[in-house]
Amino acid sequence: MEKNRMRDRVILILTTLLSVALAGFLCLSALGIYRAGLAARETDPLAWIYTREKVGEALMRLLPLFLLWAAATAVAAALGVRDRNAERAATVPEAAAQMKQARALWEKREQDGPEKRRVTIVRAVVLALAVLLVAVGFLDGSIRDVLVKAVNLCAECIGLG
Amino acid sequence: MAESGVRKSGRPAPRRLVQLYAALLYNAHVRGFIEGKIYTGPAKALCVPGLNCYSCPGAVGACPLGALQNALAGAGHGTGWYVLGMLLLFGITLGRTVCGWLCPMGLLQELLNKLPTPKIRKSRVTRALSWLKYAVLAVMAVAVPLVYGLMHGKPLPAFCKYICPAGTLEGAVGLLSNPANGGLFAQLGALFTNKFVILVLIVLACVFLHRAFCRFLCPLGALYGLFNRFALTGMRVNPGRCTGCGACVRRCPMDVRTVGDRECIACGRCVAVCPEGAITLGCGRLTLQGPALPGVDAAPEVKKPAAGKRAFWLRLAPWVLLAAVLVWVNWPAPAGSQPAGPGAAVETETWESSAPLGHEVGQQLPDFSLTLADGSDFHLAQTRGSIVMINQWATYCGPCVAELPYFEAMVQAHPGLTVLAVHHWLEATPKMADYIRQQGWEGWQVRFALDRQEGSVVELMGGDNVMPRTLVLNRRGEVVFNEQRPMTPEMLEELIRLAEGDGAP
Repeated sequence: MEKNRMRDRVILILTTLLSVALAGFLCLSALGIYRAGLAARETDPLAWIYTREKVGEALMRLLPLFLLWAAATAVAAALGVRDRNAERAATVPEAAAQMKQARALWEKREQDGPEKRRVTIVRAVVLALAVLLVAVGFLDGSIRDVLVKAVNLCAECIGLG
Repeated sequence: MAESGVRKSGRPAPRRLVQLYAALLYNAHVRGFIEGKIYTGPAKALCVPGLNCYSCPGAVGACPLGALQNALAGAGHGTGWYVLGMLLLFGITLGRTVCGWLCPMGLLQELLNKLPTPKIRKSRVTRALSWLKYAVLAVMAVAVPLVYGLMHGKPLPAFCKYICPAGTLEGAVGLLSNPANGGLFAQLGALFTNKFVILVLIVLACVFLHRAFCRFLCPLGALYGLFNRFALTGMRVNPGRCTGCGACVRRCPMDVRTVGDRECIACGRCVAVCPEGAITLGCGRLTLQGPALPGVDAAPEVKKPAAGKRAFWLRLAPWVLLAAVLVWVNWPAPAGSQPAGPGAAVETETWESSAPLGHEVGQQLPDFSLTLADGSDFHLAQTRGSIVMINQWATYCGPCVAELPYFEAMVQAHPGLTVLAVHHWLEATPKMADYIRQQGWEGWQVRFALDRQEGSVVELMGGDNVMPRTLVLNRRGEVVFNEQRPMTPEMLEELIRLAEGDGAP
C-alpha cells in the first residue's frame, strides 16, 4: 500500500512536470515564431509571421516531449493513479454555518407565502419579457444581425490577427 | 461515481451523456471540419445556450456571448433585443444548469481535469478569484464593446478578441488545422500569439483546477449565475431534511457558499453526498435527479420517465432531433442555389495582358462593373494603366473598419491609385451608406460599393466570408497580391512598390 502510494506520488509529479513543460514549450514556440516573424518583417513588410512550415517545425520539435507526456499519462491512467487528496472534502470551516443560515432562510421562504409568490412572479415576468424581446428581435432585424455576424468570419474576432 | 462522469457500472453518467449530446448538437456541421469552412445556413441565427464559438467549422448556432458583444457594439442596425431575449430566456429557465449540462467548454474542462496530476482544491483564494468573472463580464463583454462602439462606431468584441479560449481553440485552431485554409496564416501576428498563450495557460489551469475557466473567467457563467436564484431549473434543498452539516458545500468542486447559489452549476454531486437525501435537481415541480437509494448504484439517477409508448417517444426525440440537424446542416446545397462563380461576372474585353483570367497572383482579374455608393458606376476595365486595390470589408468587421483610413491615406499620397472598398454582400446589410455617412467618409477618394449577390466581386477575387481581404492589381490588370489579412500603412506602401515593379513595361 505504502509502496503504491509512493509510486503514485512519483507518477503524479512526473505528469505534472511534463504537463507544465509541454505548456511552457508550446508558449515559447509561439513566441519564438512571432519574434522571428517580426524580424523578417523589418526587411519585408509583407512577410508572413506564422507559416505552416514554421508551425510544423515547432510541433515536430515538441513531438518527443508530447509523446513522453502521453506515455506517462497513459501509464498513470492504466495504473489508476490519481490525486486521492482531491477526493476528500474541502476544508471549508464556515460551510456548516453557511448551510444552517441558508436552511433557516429556505425554511422561512417555504413557510412564507408572499415570498413564494414573489419568486413565481419574477419568473413569470422575466419569462414573458424574454419571449417578448425575442419576438421584437424577429421583427426589428436584430436576429438578422446575429445571423450576419455568425455566418461571416471576422478573423481578428477569433484571434487571427 | 457519477461525479467523475462515469458510474460504477462503467456506463457514463446521464450528465456526461447530455454534455456530449449538447457538444455534438452545437457542432453538427461535420462537413465544416472536412472542408475547413464555417456553416452559413439560417440555423446560425439561433443562439445556443452554452459557450461555443460560432466561427468553429462545426458550429450550427450562434454563441450568445459573441452575439451579445456585437449587439452592444452596434455592429448591426438592430438594437440587440433578440440576443437580450435569448439570454433572459436561457437564464430564467436554466440558470447555470447550462454550465453543468449544456456547455461544450465545461465538458472540455472536466475532461482536462481528469488527467492524472495533483489537483488544487477550492479554498478562500479560489472563492475570491471567482469574483473575477464578474469583472470580465462587466468590462470585456459589456463596457468595452459598448463604449468602443458608441465612441468609435467600430465593433470590438473584447472578450472574443482578447480572451475567449473557445474562439482560439474551436475557431482559430479549428480553421488553421485544415489544409484548405493555408491563406489564414497570413493574418497571424501578435493577437494570435497572445490568444494562443492564454489558451495554453487556461488549458494548463484546467488540468490542475476543476473548471478553472468556468469558475474564474467565463462571463457567460457569471451572467447565468445572476439568474440562479430564480431559475426554473436548479438544485432544491428540502429544509425539513437538511441538518445544515455542510457536507454538500465541502464536497462541491465549485466555489459555492450554499447549494444553488450563483456559483452552483447543478452538476448534482451534492445530491449523492447529502447524508439526509435533502437535495434534488428540479425543473419547476419536476424532479430530474433525486437522492440515490441505499443498495442501488451510488450514482444519482435521472428519474426515468414512465414506461410505455410515451417514454419510448421521449427517449427517441433527442436522437431524432440530432439526426435531423446532422442531415439538414450537412446536406449539400442544390447546384442551382450556389452563388455564381467567378466566370459569371466576366465581361468580354480585350486585355493588354496575356495572363490567364483568375484571381491568383500572376493572373489577370476578369473585368466587372459595380454601382458605387454615390450612385455612379465603376468599371474595372476603365482603370487599366493605374494600380488598383480592391478591399473586401464590412461594417461589422472591426479590423476591416480600422484599416480603411490607411487606404484613404494611400490614395491621397499616390495620385492615380484606385481603391475600391467592396462591402461584403448579405441580404441583411443594406445600411452601408448610412454607416459611411456616420463615419464621415463621404468625401473620401476610396470608392465604396456594396457587392452583388449574383456575380459577386468578392467571389471573383477568390474571397469568401473571411475578412478583410485585399487584392492588388498592377497597371496591366494582373494580380500581384491577394490575401486575407489586415493591412498596415507599411504593408500598403510595399504593395504599391510591388505593383509598380510588376507593372512596369
